Amino acid sequence: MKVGILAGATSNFGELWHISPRQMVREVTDEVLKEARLPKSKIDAVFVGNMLSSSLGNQDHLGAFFAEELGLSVPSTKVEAACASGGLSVHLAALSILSGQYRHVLVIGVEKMTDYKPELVNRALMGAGSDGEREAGATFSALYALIARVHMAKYGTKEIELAQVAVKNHYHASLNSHAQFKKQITLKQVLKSPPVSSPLKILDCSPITDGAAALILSPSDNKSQVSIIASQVATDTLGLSQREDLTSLKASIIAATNAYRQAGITPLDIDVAEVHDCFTIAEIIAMEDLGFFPKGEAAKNIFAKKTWIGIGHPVVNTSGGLKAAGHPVGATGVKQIVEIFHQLNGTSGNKQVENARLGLTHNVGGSGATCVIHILKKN
Amino acid sequence: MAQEQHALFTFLKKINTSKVTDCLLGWLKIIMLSPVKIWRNQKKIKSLLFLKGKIVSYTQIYVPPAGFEAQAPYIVAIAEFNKGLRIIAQLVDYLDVNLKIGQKVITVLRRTKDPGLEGIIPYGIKFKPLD
Repeated sequence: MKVGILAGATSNFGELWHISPRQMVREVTDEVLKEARLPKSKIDAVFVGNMLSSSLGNQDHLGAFFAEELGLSVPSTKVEAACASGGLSVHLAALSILSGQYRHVLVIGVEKMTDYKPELVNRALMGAGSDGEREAGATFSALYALIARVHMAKYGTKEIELAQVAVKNHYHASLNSHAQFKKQITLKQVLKSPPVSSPLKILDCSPITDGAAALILSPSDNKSQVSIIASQVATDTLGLSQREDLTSLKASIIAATNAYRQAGITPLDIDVAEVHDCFTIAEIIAMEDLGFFPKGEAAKNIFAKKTWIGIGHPVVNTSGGLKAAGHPVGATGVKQIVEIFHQLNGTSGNKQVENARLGLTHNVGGSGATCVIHILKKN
Repeated sequence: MAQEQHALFTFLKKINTSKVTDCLLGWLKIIMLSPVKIWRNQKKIKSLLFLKGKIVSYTQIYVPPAGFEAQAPYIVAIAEFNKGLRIIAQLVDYLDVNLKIGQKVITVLRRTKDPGLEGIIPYGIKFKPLD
């Protein structure tokens, strides 16, 4: 598989009360068209990754909504897979190019979340859960707290090791001008922050965020410096309680295994990765599910700074991850690929990982019901 | 509260002319409970009552979703029953000493969340400690 990336851009992430979804999408689209030196008329199709436009924004026709905003009359499709909506939209866009149907495809990820009060956002997000989880009053922080509790009991993972994930990702975000939280934090601050869903505290959790990201994909040729060489998706049960093992996400393991096989590489070859750290425990289990560390050993290795920029390999979540760069859910999967695209292009500025040639993105929907893996290579 | 919401809903439908009204209608759509869905889902409850099992994992929720504000903080647990059946539900009538993996529980019938626009009270399964 080889699909070229011509350009990638993200908006600022954060509480963007002064900016509408239309404006966010227009800005990132203008940026990628300019970067790719491509006239708008050359766009053959649009894929929009988004989760909550229906349940929060009361907008059920998002493909046409953004096509209208961009002045396009091409096929435009909303792709929804909860927090993996962005990654899945890139997957489908890549397949549409490989099919030979389209030459230039615009992929947009967008979410507007901070216009609504937290209880409503929490309930809308639980649209990605099972009936039983909603009836129990569970939230996604609760579902990942249930995972954390079992991981701690089985592998001896400590709260201070969870906290180190947040400290690392805030440090990386301090190098990212688009991040929601550019401020560094300490282990003590994480451990003393208020509980959200025990044992997870507020600084273990990714925030509610507005943001957008965009990519232009095309058949891989000399114009593209970076290519997607693997794109895989796997699914699992919607509800957490039906899973045999609460300490890993089966969908992540399946999608990653298939992606490594498709790319012809091993986890050791990856130089830089953006993984789905919606909660600190999520990054720990992702590092194990993706094969970067043996089961039960990721927390200790992250604590020892083995995934920090300038120190470790692979470097993980240079953007600051969902935890600190922010998590506009439908935009996250696209933003992850934009981040790796810039890393492999050598245009990441002061958060550049030296000699990065292979990168991976890991985008999860729900509590692991969908996982999308992409592997990117510098040409 | 439900009657007030219904009156507001009826009024807004009559004057549905502005974006502000559309937003409010959207908000009301979100908080409505479907009585048919509740009736259909509650048929399964009988087969899940009075099962005995053990807690696999638990958490205390301090930041709840809409409809559960009055209950917070509350405990949500996953418990395992015969033949590997696992259920997620709230733990009620507990003491701190019951908050542990392996705690024996029994399923009981309880009100689950706040009534919606129609005033229907939803019931469902919760866990109660056995020891």
